[in-house]
Amino acid sequence: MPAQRVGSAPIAIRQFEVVGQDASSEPGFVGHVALAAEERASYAASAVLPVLHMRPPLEREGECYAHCVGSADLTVDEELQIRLFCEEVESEYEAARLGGLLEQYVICPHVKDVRREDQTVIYRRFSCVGFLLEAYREAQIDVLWTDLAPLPLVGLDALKAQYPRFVRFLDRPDVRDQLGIGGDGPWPVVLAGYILNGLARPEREIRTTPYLARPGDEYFPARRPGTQGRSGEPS
Amino acid sequence: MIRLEWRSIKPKEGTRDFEALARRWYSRASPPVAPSPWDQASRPEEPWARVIADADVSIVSFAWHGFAEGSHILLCECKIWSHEAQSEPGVANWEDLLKIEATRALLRSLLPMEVCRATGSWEERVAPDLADLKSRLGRVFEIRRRIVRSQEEHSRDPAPASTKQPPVESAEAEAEGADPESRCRAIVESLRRPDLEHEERRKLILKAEVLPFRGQHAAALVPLLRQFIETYRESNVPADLVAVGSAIRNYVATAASDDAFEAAASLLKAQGRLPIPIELEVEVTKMVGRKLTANPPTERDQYTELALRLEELVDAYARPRFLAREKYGAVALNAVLGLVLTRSGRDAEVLERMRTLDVPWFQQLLARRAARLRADLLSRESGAKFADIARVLGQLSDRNPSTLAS
Repeated sequence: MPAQRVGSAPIAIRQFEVVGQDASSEPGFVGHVALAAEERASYAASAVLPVLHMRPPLEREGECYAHCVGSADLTVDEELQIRLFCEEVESEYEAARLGGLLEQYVICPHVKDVRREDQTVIYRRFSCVGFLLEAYREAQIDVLWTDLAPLPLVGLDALKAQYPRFVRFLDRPDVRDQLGIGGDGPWPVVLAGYILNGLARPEREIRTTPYLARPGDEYFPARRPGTQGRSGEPS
Repeated sequence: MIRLEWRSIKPKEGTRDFEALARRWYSRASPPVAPSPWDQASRPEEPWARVIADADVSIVSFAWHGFAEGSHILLCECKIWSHEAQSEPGVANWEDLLKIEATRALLRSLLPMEVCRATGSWEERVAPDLADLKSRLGRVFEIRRRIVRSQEEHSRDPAPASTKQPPVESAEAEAEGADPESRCRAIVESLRRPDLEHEERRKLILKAEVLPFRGQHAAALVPLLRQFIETYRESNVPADLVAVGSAIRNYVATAASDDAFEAAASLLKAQGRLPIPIELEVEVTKMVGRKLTANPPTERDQYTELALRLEELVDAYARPRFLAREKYGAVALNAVLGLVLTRSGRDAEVLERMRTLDVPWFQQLLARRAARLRADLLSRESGAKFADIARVLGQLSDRNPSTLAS
């Protein structure tokens, strides 16, 4: 299986594999995802891993603890294509680091072009998982179905678990509006855990069929409603 | 006392020992350069030494990077700090300096003289054009000196108390939380002030990118962005380059097409001024592509100068040796697509070049981008007007090596 939880036994991680970090409030709930910035022949839980990720802002030399890892068994060519994608957008997020973070982040949809009056795209906004999905799509690997209609609806509580740094902001309707989740919800948000569950399939399937997320996929491994723990269904 | 100190810093991946090369370069110089930079002696007639003396700075470290393997680009970074920094042992590069809080404050006080950069071309087998490099360095320092002078003049000649404006931070700060239009107005007003602190100006440039500038505010912002780009495009301060990148995106997206493409061509021009860093080339080419996608030219070869510059980039970077290097692929990809979108008539050469490139990962990516662009163009009401662009994009999208192989 190309996705797994990281335990005490060391595993190998390759560059641009998907790294998931559990929410501090709830083990198993994937709170954040990133791209491994470099290869590690032997990685064990509790070690810090260099990552490239959208915190926000996008960090080229970030670090995080990997609680789970997902792989599409990328070829070298695909790695180069993903790298080029990252190089194209990174300065937009360097600017966000020095300017306004929230303006360059979006929760729903997972990616959004910001345009000037003449419709020129000036920059792109991503969620953390959106950045990874678009990076993989650049290499023609479409891990996840992201049309909003069939996505599970997510309530504010689940979003607060997903975005602990934004908890204060998520209570403000104007900020929610800015992040693409106007109103009181629930919303069809692409959560971080979905991509790991999307990668927990045979490699051939990953490359041929986008994964359609279901309630419970915010956890990795998924916890289906009514089986164990919280479901992430609208609160 | 002025002391010149030359150090090599870790060579980048794939480079040779550039300090050794630089030493050989100097030893072969004709006429001979004496003393060499390694003699630790200052030469007051050197333009950089004079500027350093003016600025009361005592150590200069020149670090040589380079790209071997045919590019023959010599990058010379000059790092300057005051003699107090000598008390920091082992300080060898800018990144180290930034980690030392005391030194950081010191460097801030030296702004904008803290880091300069110059580039010169170099051929190992040919006598180096030392005069050219010196002249380039001299120009860099001259630019810095003018900025320092201008700052000094402002500080010596403050506005009379009765007419003095409130602190520059306050205008925008007051507008925080206000409606976007008021914030746009406040940013324009602040950026117009000559006494605006450099750091504050940089911050406002970044904020301007994420605000929805329209109409008269957009028109007022455009020349201020251009001015910022021209002033700081050669800076080697990372935060300046981030702000210049932001200003480039904003300028190209906000200005009228003719102005945007004229500025883009000027930024990409290799002659006359120092070439812009590759990070900024990524921004310029990316934004040219985005602007042309939103506003395809109504006439053929409407932006001749821009097309020439893009073609130069394709010639220089779309080579197997470069494409795998950081950022070169991004510039080449956007330059190819931008060139097609300009309707310059140079499509046949580009298509042939891409066909024979033999870099499958790049060709695949280009083919996918071209296919997306083509679909986007044709989906518009005016799509039929751009059939020529769509045709070339269609040909590029067929260049997918896997398609050719089957």
